[in-house]
Amino acid sequence: MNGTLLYFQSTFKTSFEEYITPELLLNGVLLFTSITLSLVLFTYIYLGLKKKKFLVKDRIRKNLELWISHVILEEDDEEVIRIPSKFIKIFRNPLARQYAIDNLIINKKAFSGMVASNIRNLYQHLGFRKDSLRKLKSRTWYVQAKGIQELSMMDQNDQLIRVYRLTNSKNELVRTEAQTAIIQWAGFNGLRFLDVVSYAISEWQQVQLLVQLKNFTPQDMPKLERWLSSKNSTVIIFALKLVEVYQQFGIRRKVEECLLHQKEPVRRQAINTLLKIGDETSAEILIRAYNDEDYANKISILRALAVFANETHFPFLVAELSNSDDHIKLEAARALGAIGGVGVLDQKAAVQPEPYALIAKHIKAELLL
Amino acid sequence: MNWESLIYDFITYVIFAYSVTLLIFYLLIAIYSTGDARRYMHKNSFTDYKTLVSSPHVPSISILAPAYNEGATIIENVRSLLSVYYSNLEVVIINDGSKDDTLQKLIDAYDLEKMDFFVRQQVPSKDVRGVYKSRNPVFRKLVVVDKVNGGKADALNVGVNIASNNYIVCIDVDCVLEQDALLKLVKPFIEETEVRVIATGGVIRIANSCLIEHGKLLKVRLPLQYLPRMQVLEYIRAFLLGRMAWSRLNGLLLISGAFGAFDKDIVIKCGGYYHNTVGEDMELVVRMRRYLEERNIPYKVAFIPDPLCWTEAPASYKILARQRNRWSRGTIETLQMHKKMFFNPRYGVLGMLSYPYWFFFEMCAPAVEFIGFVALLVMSFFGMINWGTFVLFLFFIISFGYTYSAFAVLMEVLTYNQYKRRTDVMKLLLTGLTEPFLFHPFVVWHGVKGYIDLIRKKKSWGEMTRQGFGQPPA
Amino acid sequence: MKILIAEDEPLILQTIELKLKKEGYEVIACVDGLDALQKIDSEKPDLIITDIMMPYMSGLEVIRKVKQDIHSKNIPVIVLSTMGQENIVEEAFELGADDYLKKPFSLSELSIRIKKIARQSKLQ
Repeated sequence: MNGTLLYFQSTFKTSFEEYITPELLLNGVLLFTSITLSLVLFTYIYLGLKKKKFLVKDRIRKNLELWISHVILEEDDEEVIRIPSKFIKIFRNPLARQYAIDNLIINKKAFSGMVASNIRNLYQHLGFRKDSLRKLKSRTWYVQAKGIQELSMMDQNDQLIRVYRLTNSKNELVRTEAQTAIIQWAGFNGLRFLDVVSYAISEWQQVQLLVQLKNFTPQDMPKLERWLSSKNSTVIIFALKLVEVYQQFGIRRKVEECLLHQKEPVRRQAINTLLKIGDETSAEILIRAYNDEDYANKISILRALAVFANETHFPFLVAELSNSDDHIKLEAARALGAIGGVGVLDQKAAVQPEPYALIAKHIKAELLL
Repeated sequence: MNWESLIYDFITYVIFAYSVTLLIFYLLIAIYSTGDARRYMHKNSFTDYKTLVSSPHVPSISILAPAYNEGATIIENVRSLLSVYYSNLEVVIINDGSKDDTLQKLIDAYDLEKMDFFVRQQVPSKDVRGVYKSRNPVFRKLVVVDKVNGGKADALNVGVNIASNNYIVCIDVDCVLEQDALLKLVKPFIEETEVRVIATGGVIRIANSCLIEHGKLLKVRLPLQYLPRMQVLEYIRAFLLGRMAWSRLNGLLLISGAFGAFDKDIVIKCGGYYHNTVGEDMELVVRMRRYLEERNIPYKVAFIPDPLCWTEAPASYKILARQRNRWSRGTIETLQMHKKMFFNPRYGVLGMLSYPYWFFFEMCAPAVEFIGFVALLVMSFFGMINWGTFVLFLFFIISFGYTYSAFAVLMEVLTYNQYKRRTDVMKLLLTGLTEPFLFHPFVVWHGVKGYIDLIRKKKSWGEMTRQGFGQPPA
Repeated sequence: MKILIAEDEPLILQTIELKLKKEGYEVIACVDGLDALQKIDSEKPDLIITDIMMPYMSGLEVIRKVKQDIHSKNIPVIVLSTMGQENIVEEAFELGADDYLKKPFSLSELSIRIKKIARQSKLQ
């Protein structure tokens, strides 16, 4: 090796070799080659471990799967769950415990009634609750979130107060899992976390919460009005969705006030909510708000007008037919079509066939669908 | 010191500085991508996509899929798109003036009827000959548009004008999507609370040799042929490392034309796809970003690392050459159009980091590599540097390339691990060994040819066939 | 009576399978839509229980195919799904499903419905 290097060094000719010495390059090659080899080695060690873990898990699965199914199908209430002695050893393995917990969660999601209560009993009987509580105390965000999820899926309602505190955690995942858990345990009453939550509730989380609420019988939400004036604009948006989904007509005035909110997303949701609960008076309010709204909200307002405008609003819609934007033209026409203004469209088309003849036809075709 | 040697000095310093900077960039990308990938995986394990996919509260999506002479496969492809689970969905198929029976096949298979349809002129596009919907309520999600041929960008613009939903997902019609692909792709739009998400890009995975039936991916297999297999490695590097890191910096410049979602309002405000470039997918993202930067609106271009979209990669040298030629031209055209941003602090990360990176290491890379290689070769031939140094320098670069590839494979194994068999991983690594001698020179050469074609203004689109997916950064 | 179940979550599939076997039914378990369709063809079950969201072929597609085929169109179908949205329930019934249970569901309720459907199809 030294020989080659000497050879390289003796034949310097330009500055290339002055700075990029062969020695340096050779060291670089050696460095990268050894890093490459270690990476490959690491890849294979990892694959090996993964395979081993898979085999262990698979053995656990084969051992436990059928047994769990049998236990949770047990129909006799009085029967005490007996853990076969060979399983006692298996359950010392954390992997096995986690497998069993995950298995129970999957089943719990699918089944209600007797099976669900058997699942809960088994979870407690095997001491998994302690595992979940330990996770809840963890400082690692995803471990803590997992703990919350397990406790919530297994209906461990007594943890409500502890988890409730986490509904405003600074970690997003912990926070959303905690919110979800509270709803799982307390249904509509769980929504009280909206009183205190200061972090934004993402649209995504709102979808999850609404899906979850579907599992409960609708209840009065006395605090709706308060949420609609929350300092947290995402709470207002969520409350507006609740108004929409659960048809809270009584609160329409308050929704109309949201049309004046300074944040654009709030106003947009207010328009969409009015679309579901509004009436002719809302049409007036929306038309008044129209001119100051941005493009997307204008479209939303026109869509709402399609639902509850009437003949008195024809002039407004006809004026919008002449808007330079094609999308606004079409939405205005659609609104006219929906509230019995096809004749008005035809008149417009007769005066100015391009483009209104086609627009009128388009609307008629849609009405036929 | 005569000025001849000054030139040599200059060349050698440039090559050296270039290599070192590139090396540092790759290292940073590799390190930077890891943290985010792990975080994403942890978070994702909590979401039960199954329960959310049917919610009426998810944002509405229009899929836009241009088709040109796809008669042979169109029916299966559309069936596959229609079977994707999503509650607020519209599937718009745009027949871009096919010369074959693509349209007729669709009409027959889906019982289509021509509608009176007012096409909104929101972004410029060629004439629409007709809009079709199905008489059968089962296919109510489907809209088929027949238009005059105008290329992919034009077809997508028609799609934008027709689409009735708020988000558009642009896709190659022959892509195979995973069941929950759409929900995962739109998630960033509604998950972000601080800034406006204007687009999200998904990962493209290579479907060659995979078992696909009825438009569904049944089994993932490593491609048997050399070129697709090489591209598997290339795509893993580009998507799992490159895009992950760039999206974390919010500096992503490119979303694959084969699978990306956009906020339709912004697309319209920016004027839609631009017809006069072969790199329309990259150009649109750059223009959208520029639009928001100039208005000082906080925004983000997001990226989803899950393998959601599978597509055939070019398996022949001829088609691969054409694809790389086109990518090279597309990159140059895009960067040229937006040269105002080059090291312009007004554009933040975009102007100071993303654009220069693309300029030096994507656009110039083929030229620098090519000229550098030739220059060093000539210099060693005339004895100005010695052969040993030359060879060592090449080995240095090559060994770094191997390290980067090995790291990418490791990341893939640690995250999604699509190729589960150990022999497959080995095959992938071994294929990587040949890259600097076979695949890479070929790709570089055709990149350089792209420059030459562009200079000659040879505006060929390449055949508008199916090699048209987006360009991953190398 | 031979019952075919299509459900992509193996644990849930197993629990249902076990329950139905306990009640004395013959059970054919399928892990996805395609699998189900093939086995419907070869095994000719008396009743089909299917999930909607499954790999390769959705439960709704399975129902459509079953109801289009003259050999299988009289086999009653019960849908089991997490999707409770009205339009999906409607679509399932339009395609020819006979019953729809939203997850989480009670297994005893399922077996009552099976008995009811079995009685009805015997009457015909």
